[in-house]
Amino acid sequence: MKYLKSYLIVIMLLFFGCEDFLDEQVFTEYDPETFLNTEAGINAVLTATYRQSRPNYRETWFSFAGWTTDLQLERGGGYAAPAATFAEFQWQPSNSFFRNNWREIYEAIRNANALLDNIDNVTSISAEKVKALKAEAIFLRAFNYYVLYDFFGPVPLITSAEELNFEPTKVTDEVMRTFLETELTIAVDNLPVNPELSGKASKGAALSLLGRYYLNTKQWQKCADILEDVIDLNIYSLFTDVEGLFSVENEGNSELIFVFESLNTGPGWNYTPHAYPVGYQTGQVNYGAQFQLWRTFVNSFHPSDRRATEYDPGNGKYGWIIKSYVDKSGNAIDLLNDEIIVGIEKKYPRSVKFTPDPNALAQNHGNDMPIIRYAEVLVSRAEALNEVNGPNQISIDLLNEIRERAEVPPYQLADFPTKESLRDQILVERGWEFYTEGLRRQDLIRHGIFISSALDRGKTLAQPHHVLFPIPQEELDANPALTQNDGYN
Amino acid sequence: MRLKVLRQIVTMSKFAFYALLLQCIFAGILLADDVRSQTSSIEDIYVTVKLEDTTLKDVFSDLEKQTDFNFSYNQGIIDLNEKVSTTKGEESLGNFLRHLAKETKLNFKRIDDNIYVSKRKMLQSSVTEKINSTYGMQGLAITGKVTSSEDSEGMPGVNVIVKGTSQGTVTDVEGNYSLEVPSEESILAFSSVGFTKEEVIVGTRTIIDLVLTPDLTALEEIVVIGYGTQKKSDLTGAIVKVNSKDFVKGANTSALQLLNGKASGVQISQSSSAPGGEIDIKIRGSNSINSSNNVLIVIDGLPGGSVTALSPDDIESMEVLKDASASAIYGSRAANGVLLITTKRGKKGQMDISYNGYVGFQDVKDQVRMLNGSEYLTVLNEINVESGGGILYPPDYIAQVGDGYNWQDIIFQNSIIQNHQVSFQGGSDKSQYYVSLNYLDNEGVIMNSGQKKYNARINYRIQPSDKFSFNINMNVNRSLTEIVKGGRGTNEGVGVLSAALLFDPTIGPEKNSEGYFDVNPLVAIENPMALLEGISRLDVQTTVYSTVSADYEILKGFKATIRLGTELSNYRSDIYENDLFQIGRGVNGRGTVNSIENTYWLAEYLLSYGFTKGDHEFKVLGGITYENFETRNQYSQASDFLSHVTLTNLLQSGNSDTYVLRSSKFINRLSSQLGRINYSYKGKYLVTASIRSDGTSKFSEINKYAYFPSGSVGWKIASEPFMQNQGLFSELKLRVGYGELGNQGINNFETIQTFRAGSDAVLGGSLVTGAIPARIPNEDLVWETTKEFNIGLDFGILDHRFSGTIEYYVRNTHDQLFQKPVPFTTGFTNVRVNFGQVRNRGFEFAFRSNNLTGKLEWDTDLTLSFHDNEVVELPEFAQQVIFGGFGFSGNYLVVQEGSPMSSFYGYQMDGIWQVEDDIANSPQPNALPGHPIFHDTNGDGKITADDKIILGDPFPDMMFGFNNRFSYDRFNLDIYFLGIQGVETFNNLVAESLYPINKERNHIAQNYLDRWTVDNPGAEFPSGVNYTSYSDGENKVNSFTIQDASYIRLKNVTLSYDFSLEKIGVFKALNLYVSGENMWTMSDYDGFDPDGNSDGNGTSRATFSDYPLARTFRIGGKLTF
Repeated sequence: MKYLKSYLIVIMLLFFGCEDFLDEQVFTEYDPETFLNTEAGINAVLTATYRQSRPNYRETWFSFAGWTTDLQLERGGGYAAPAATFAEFQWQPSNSFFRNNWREIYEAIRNANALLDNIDNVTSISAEKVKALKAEAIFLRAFNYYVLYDFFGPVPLITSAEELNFEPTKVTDEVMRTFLETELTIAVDNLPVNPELSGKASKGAALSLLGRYYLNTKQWQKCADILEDVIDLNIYSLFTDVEGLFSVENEGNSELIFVFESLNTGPGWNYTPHAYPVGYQTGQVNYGAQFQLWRTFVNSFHPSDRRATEYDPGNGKYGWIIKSYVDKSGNAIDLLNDEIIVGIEKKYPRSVKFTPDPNALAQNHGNDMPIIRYAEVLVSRAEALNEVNGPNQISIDLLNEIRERAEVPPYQLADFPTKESLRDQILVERGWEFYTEGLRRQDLIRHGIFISSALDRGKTLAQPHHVLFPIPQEELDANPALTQNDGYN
Repeated sequence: MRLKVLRQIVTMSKFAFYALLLQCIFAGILLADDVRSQTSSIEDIYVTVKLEDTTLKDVFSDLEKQTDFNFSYNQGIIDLNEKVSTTKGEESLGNFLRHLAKETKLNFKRIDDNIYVSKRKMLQSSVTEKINSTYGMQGLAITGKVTSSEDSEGMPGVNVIVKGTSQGTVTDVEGNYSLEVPSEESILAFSSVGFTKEEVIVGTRTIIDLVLTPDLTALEEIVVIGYGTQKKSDLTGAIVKVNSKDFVKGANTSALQLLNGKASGVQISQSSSAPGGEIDIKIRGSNSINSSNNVLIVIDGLPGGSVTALSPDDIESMEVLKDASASAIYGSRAANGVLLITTKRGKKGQMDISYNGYVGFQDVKDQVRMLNGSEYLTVLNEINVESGGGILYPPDYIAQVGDGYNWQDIIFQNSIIQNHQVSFQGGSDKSQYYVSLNYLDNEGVIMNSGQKKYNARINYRIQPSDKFSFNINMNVNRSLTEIVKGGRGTNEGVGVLSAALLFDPTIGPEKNSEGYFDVNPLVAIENPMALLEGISRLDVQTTVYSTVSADYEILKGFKATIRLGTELSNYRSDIYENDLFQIGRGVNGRGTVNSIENTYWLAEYLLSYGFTKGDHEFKVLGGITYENFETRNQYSQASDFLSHVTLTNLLQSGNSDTYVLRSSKFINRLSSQLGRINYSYKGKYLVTASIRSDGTSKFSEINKYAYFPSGSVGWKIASEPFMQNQGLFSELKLRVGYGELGNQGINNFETIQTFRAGSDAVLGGSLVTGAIPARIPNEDLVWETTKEFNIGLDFGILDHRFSGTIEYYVRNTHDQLFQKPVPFTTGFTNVRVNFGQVRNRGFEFAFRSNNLTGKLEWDTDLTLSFHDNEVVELPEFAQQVIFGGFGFSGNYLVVQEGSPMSSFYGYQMDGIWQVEDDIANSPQPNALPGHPIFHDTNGDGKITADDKIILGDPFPDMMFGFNNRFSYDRFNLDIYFLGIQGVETFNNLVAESLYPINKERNHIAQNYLDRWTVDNPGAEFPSGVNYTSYSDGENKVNSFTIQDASYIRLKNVTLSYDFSLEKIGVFKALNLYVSGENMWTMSDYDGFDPDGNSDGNGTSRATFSDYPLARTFRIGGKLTF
């Protein structure tokens, strides 16, 4: 009897636990079945798409589109070696910047696809809202594909997250272009003129992006027409206080068509720590990596040009360029005239057009990251019309709008006897207007001088294939169906 | 003494009648000379024997009556009921014993008045005698009784030797002995097979009674195996047991360090030598390409026990289950081997109190020679001039700077480590206890780092009846670790030591006029002092684990066990960055609190039954277990504080816009059934078979369960009749085993799709929460399976004077839980699949030898293992997986068929381009003289990714541990060397030195003092001029940066001395020692420790100025009351 009791206890214990003991329990994540059927879920996926679409400006604007061009240079800090790689045209497919950006962009595309795949199952959202959400996802997807197209040429086109394709191939240039044009057109047709939240895609953003696309693919008439549509929306205008265009206090001004918003508590804008010169008197973070402007470029501005006014808050000047300062040791540094010692080239002027945020926390400044602004619409339309018709008064007037705002003497049509002469001057004007906004590489490529100007600067390794960057080595390793861009094999 | 004499008188034989008479009359004289009567040889003493089915017991007792001799034997070994039949007339005792030896396979050895009976292992039966050589010597007479701690019975056959002489005797059937010793300083050494050797200093005593405790290291020792124990001689699997006395000596703060080099095939490496740093253990290499390679550690039956939350002084023994046949009983978590840790138990008897402690002095023996101030400026000048620039620093400035600052001198300190342990143990027949308290204070050799650890343990056993017993083990551990910024960050995120190496050596540790530490604004590295004083981090961990088990013997041999166990741990890390640190200043102070709570519980029910039938012996075990793992995390961060004084204790005083909050909870579960059979036939043919079925919550419905079988056989060759006539092997056993193991080392949710909150964006001016799909799920995932074949040979030669083990194994790991890299176009980086096969093969040797016995004793232990790892099969889609990133270097590892897993993959360097070379027509047309020559492996005239080759692998080809122990009088000297050979590492410090992210960072001196210049064309290292042209992307991974990390290290030297404290009364023993650790290392590696691994406990290996290994001098002792 005693033994029996013991057996019973043991046998009872054998059956301890129940059938669902081994079911996997999820506490911290969401089941897609239910999550994507709610408006909150769809919104969250869209929100993440915005975040993932935000460019890695240090790599894209500066490494890819900055050091490779004629306006800016970098010395020192953690960007010295990569900057030299790009400035000297020595990049290899294994460079991690290519991999990082390729991956992040396709993650944004994946999220946009996930939204587009699922949104039609959601019954609780109004049809109109569904249409708008879809248009936003389509806009962001096209925005990202255009970034890829710009850097890498035609790439694999993934438009659904449902059937995973592990060996996608590059599409043809024609398919790529058709896709971008079609998608952006859908976005134009469906996005609201005035989105309900700042930082969201609008009809104007889609039109302007399509205009940028037409410009860079030299579809001049389409470009001119679509940018006229932007102007005709009549909601954008040049912001008169040019020096304060990108300051935190002027966020959301009428010139900014599309931005990725920032907060000083993050996600933030950490360009400014790169712009502060060595020993600059600031309590804010000042990086070792010094992002600078060539003196010849700064000296090329008209003396009265407000786009090159000095930033010297101690003396009440809040312009776009630091030209001189007194460092922490009390030395007066003149960034335009002090002797440059080869090897310590850190005494060049700085672009601080994204006005330093007095409330910055660590490296994070609150400045929104500008993607497209109205000035670009005007200048690009001027360029397109010149390409279509040669020098013309409309182009001159468009250019003069921004010149007047900058308080420099207007152009006269008579100054430009040929299409080429105006084209060349527009490129110069774009440099003055858009420096450090990540557009220079596109401009030089469009004007056919990206490589030749590099050779002129003594970058002897620059070769024609460098107008595109290589497909990242890891992507080629993972996808045997993918081919490397010409010249990188 | 008198009793002894009386007893001898009583047992005196009739053949010594007159001797009896004389002894009676001259007892007083004989007292001092009582051995004289026995000096006659056994050949001279005659006995008459008539035996008819007489048991040995009666034979011995008859002979004891007929002669002066006592027969001594171990009842556990000699079968006293064995019957013998013979009729002999009167003949010499010697002849009779020879006859008896032939008939019974026994050996007889006479020492003085005792005849020691042992089982025969030698070829020849032997009857030997050693007549007391102390005859006639004047000395002190000692008597006493030796009893066993197990049953308090007298122990026959115990050798009692006067140390350093050949004098000695053997205890009689009741455990009594008597002998003479030369002086009060003499040491008596008591030894008996199966029991711990004891040494006692005679002092003024004339009666010395002693209790001997069973020695777990002896041949018949008991070895802990999964869910049970087994006699060592009956093992059929590859199991290594390391006893506390063989542990690595030194300032070991983790139990794993005690094993270093002590078990062949087991690799212990230190991913960080910081106080509290992580220690990695690998058994027989790595099996899993992407999944966990962690060894399962079982502490007193509790799987997954925290080895860091344990006082090394509490450990009795550690068993490594190396092969699959031994570890398959742990199923799905055993794929990387199992380590069983057994803590000390209380023993019956009065309370023993012992104190064990040491104080150690630590420093860093070898610094990395970086450029000093003037060298640094000169090199910058020279490279700038060679690059076409001018002089950057005038000579008078360089002269003024002089040596500049040696930052290693500034951040390193001489530190003190101290460890104190007090333990109490004792008990009665019904209950025994072991209680200990431990305190460890380990200052780091880098300023502001260190750890304090407190540990308490209670092991309690109650046996209310013969059938029922109850065990409680409980361990409480609390550690407080001050951590300096370390790790593998880049730029301002780099750790203190890396900063000290790379920082501008012309800038010092003084604060400037603003009250901050200066930096060189161009190098983007924080002043090391700012990292030390601007960041404070304290990690506090409290771990409690406990098991409660009840054993009930239902029928004889049939036992039921219930074990409940739990481990609760609470970890909290507080980090505060104040304004001395740039980033802290930028945010006006930042406080972070991260808490992790782990809860684990186990419930298991076991039934075992053992029985013997004739020559057949069976043991059967069955059981079920349930385990639950839960992790909860809470993370809070705030910045922008009112004041820095509140540190992390008032996060709400930060700016609410800066709050970062995170929390999470994960649960996974295991449910298992297990069974095992042990069978032995005639005690020499052994069979073991086991099976375990595991179910896990991590896999999907279709693959929740898996079975892991094993089987092994052993053959004790030395027990065979044909081995009886040889004298060489005292043990020879062949073992063959096979088993299957699983690896469930995947994360939660890998078989299901989920969305994860994250990727928040700013919309409408405020932060909005986003969500992203978490992964590509794969519901077909199954367990990774390792199949292992093992063959082993255990041998003992010349009565175990030499002994050892040889093992050979092949383990194939199939269905690798493989992180298949997928094109980023999918929006993901990889997907987990089952594919691929990795094979580990190797030989392991362990030898032990008693080189010298006598006054000077010398023992040697050697462990040696050879290992080979190879990826045998990879999926079509991933014939070559290139991965890994470190600092600014990418893709330094490759997995490909035919090569070791995680091989280092990069460029072979073929020297340096010279001025006269035809560079323009070479594969590197743009190189300059002084640039490195990349080997054009495929000969296509270009240098591309296709030219990369395997430059090494992270698995040592050979590992060894070599221990020598010398003992002379009361001195003991222990010298321990260990090393690994044929292993490489990626040295990121060299990459940062040769290919700096900006040239203002400091460099390893030899990289630049022997750099190529026109005047130094034979240099080893490139010129450094326009170095970015040869260091983009993966070019940094090459034969300069992949370095040989082989080393030989004098790990420990300990000299100890045993004091006699008998006269003091309360003290039972005192042992004092001095020791030195990490005194000498031989290696070609550039850095602090070739054994360091910044890649943590992964498969791969990389180093970046890891926290240096301390050289330690210690003084310590053990005092027993």
